[in-house]
Amino acid sequence: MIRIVAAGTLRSLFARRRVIFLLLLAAVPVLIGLLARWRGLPGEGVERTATAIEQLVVRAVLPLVGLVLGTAAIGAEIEDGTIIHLITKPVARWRIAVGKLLATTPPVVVLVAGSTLIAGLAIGGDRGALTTVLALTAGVSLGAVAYTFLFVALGVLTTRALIAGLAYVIVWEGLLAGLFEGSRTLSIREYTLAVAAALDPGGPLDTDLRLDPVVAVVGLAAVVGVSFAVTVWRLGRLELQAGD
Amino acid sequence: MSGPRGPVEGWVDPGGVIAPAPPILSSPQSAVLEVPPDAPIRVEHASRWYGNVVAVNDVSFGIGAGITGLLGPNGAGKSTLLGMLAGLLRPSAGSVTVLGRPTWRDPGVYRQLGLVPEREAVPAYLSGRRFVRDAAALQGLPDPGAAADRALGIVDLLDPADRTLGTYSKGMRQRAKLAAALVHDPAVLLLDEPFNGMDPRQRLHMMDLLRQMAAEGRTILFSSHILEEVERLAQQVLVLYAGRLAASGDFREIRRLMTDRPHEFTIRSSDDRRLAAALVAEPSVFAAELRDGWLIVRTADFPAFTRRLPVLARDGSVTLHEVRPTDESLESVFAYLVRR
Amino acid sequence: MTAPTPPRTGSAGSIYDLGYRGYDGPRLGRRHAVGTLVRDAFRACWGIGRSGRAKIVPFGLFALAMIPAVVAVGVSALVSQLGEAGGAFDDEAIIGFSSYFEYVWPLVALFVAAQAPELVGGDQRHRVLALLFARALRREDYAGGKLVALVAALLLLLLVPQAVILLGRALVPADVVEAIVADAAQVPAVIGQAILAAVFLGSLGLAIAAYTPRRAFATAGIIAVLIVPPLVSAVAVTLVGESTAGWLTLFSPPDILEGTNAFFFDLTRTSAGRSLPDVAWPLAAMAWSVVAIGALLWRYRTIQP
Repeated sequence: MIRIVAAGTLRSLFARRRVIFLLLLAAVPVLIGLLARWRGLPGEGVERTATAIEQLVVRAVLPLVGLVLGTAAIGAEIEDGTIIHLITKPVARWRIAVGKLLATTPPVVVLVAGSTLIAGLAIGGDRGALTTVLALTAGVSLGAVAYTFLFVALGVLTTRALIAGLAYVIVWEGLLAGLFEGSRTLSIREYTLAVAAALDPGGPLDTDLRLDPVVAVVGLAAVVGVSFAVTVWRLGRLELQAGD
Repeated sequence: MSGPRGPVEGWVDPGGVIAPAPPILSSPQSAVLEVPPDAPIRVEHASRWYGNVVAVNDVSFGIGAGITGLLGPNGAGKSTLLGMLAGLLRPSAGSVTVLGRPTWRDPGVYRQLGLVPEREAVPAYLSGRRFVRDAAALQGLPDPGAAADRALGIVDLLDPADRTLGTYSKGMRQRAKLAAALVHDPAVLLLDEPFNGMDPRQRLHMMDLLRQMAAEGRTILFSSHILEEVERLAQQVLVLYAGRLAASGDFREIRRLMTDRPHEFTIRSSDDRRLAAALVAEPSVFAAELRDGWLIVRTADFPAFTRRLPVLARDGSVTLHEVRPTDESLESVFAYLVRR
Repeated sequence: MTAPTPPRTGSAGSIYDLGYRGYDGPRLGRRHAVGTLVRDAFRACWGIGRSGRAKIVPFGLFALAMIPAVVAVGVSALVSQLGEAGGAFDDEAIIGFSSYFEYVWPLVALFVAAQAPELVGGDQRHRVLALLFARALRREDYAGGKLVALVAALLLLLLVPQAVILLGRALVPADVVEAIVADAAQVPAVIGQAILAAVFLGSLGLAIAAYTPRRAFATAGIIAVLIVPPLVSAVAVTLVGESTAGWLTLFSPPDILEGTNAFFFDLTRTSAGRSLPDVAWPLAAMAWSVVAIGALLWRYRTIQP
């Protein structure tokens, strides 16, 4: 049963326009990487690789890909009304949630991790940045899971999920988390970077400002768990119009 | 009468009224209602409001096997009521149960329940076959492909089954939704304005289909604001107006209950004028009119009139060629109900 | 209206004249239609005429945009209260016009991302375009009218706080008139930057939004165009140098806006794109605006309602 939900979701997620948009987005760091490979300035490779990936992937590609796919997973069906066909079936709501998440999360992870890996290796692979790149790939993969779960839940909670998600990423993670120390513990971006830093000790990401990796992992797990619970809870109480 | 899961009996009133709806003259809210406990669909004092707006107002009824029409103008609350029956909306008050289970927050109820929603929303990129097959699989059927093909056959959609739903006409999409709702052989079927956008041939076909399913013992409830459809198809009606249940049962019976409204008959006889003269003398008749070759009689006392008419005709040596009640259409019933 | 004519009767049927008549009087023309469209679109930008929830984003953003302005007035009031001791504050404490632009443009961008899809998405989604194009309104009137309304809304967002800031700055020093005169020299630059920014962001956002009826796609597209290019150009410059990659900033709206800001207020850029002449930025902004407006008009010229 879960499999059918997952398969159906995969089919609906990969609408042509969306796919093109996401591939272009994920390709941007790769293209920059290739540009760097071709015409790169000499200089400290590891540091620059880390900065490039942080700026391009962690701040932009990762949350955007998670946002577009996550909010679409259930949100798109709610918006166009086709969710009714899924809701009026004797399938436990948690199974629906699992199927949806199972279909949505891997593409996000693959796109983002692939982008990180290829771009990172292109920029700094032969400048000793391999460990950093791998660490970032791991961190970004976990971050992708967390973002996906969060945005799928948002998609079930509100029809303005995309704006809400953007507000979270731009305003909360972007502006405010930089200002208030405490809010850093509630930022998926920070969790991602903390995990990467922990896997690459002494590397350019391992700054004093980084979160403790334990806190980061707990944070990631909490986001995943709470988002899943919220998704199941809300799916069970979704109210739909039967007619117009 | 027997349904797919054994005999269904004991609660159909031989007089034609299903639910123990009170006589038309008392308001449903004030009467003490007893909805029969084993009716497949039971609604007890169900209400639904959105802030200040009450969409469904203290509605109670029971529905059994056969076809019941939910009739009402747009905005009367039909879709809201169907939404509650289908488990898509939470009743703000009261209870809504299908086959003994409350419909809200109970996915299991969908094993026995099929819904054909009004909205166009179907995934355009799926083929018809795929759509119905997925429905079958999600219902947990052991052989979804076969079940899907059977359902598609019933709705006559086998030929275009492999084309995507986006290429279907509106009527075809409607049939696809019906196939998906039937694929698991549900005991209860809910249809929201199912004939919207159908051409006459498709409509007749679907009506035949529904009649056949009702004969198998299924409980079918469909909503409509087109009186002719309901009149032709439904064995019983529920009339909803401004969120309230205005009447329920067989519409001819309802008509008979509207005693404060005169009945009208159209008569063609061998000597209309003579018959008219005799009728006008009757206390049960309060108007007789000769118009365009017909005799139109209005009476306030239906039983007395029906007894006296043949007697008067015989006594006056008038042959009755045709006697027709003119205002027992559902339309006149409906107009009366919503005017009260 | 003339009196209804008596019913025409045949033997089997009758026709009753209920008195309905066609309208032969004067009709308000194209100009009026466009004016109405612009007015309604302007109201839609601010969520006026819709539910309360629709007003949250536009008015919220306006409130955020007003914060520095309110602070400016507050500070100047404080300073004038302190009198002599307030001399320690000079007008450096109050935000300047150019630095205000740096603060406000993300809010303007969010406004466009949120409201542009509202303006053009709904009509496409609900298939209203066929009705609209059957009126005196031409297709290009529709596109242009929506754009004018959005740009007007953005100008409000940009200029009202600036006006309040002007007030705040003027009230701080002892000589009010002198302060106003000193600032007046900057007013053309403020207005020029505001107009350019409004047209640039507005046309870009509206063009993107016009290509999809789905609000979420449009918003995502606009946001992507605003977030990704600056990161790309910044990183590219870091990696391959300003001379090779500096021109990438001409594809990045935030950089373009920063550049026009520098152009109008005669600042020097230190970030990516510093190698380009100051005038490149307003030219880029205007060029992109032309492209966007062209795309917008094209979309509505060819759309099948």
